[in-house]
Amino acid sequence: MAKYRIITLCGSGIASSTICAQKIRKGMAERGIDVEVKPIAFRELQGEIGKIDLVVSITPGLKVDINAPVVNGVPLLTGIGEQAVLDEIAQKLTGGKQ
Amino acid sequence: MGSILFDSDMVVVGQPFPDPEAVIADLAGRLAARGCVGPGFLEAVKDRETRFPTGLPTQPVGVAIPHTDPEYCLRPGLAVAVLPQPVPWRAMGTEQDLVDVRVVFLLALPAQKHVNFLSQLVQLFQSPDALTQLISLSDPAAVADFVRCRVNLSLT
Repeated sequence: MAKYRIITLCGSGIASSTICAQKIRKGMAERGIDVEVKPIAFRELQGEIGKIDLVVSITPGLKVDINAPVVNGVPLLTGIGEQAVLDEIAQKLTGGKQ
Repeated sequence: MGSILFDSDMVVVGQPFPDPEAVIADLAGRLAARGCVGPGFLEAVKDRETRFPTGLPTQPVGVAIPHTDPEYCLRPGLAVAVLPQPVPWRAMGTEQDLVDVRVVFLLALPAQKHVNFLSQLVQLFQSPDALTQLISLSDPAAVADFVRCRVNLSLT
């Protein structure tokens, strides 16, 4: 099974995106999905285009064409709707095959 | 190793503010007075907030975590506001949505090694019970004790 590549996106690529990344790694492990998660800053996004399967973003106005599905990661910080977001990520990665 | 500077002087409780800018200015002043941040920090936080807003729709009240890039921060520090009335704050990840915020954590993080601290902070405000308790507190010392009990401020 291929390893899926995910980036988490915030303003600095340091704080919130790292917390989102930790939760995604744990949540995907629990679902048996092999992922590599990399937190990045908004300005680093351009360099990732074409290399990623999914973007989890907590920044507004993602208007760049990244050719990958984008999931809103804010529930990973608030805890409200967290499992639903993890399910959405899993669904978008595997296309429901799992 | 050191720790994140935080005590009752870094807390404002019960004071109404008209808007996010006023809250951020008060808290940034506390961080500056203790040497946590240098010139340009306040403007940098406000600027970042316009591009990447930090209001979070937690329950039962919203929380905001304004911050900026490490270059404006001299030593790790935390300042906290517990607001008597909600301040409408732009929600993270949105262009226009607003969250009614009652608790604000202004972070001065000079290095990139504070994820453990942030994880604990996230855990704190993901707990409706903890937030309910926090907004019931009426003096800075009580708020400082409350946060210190729940978040490990030492940097290891």
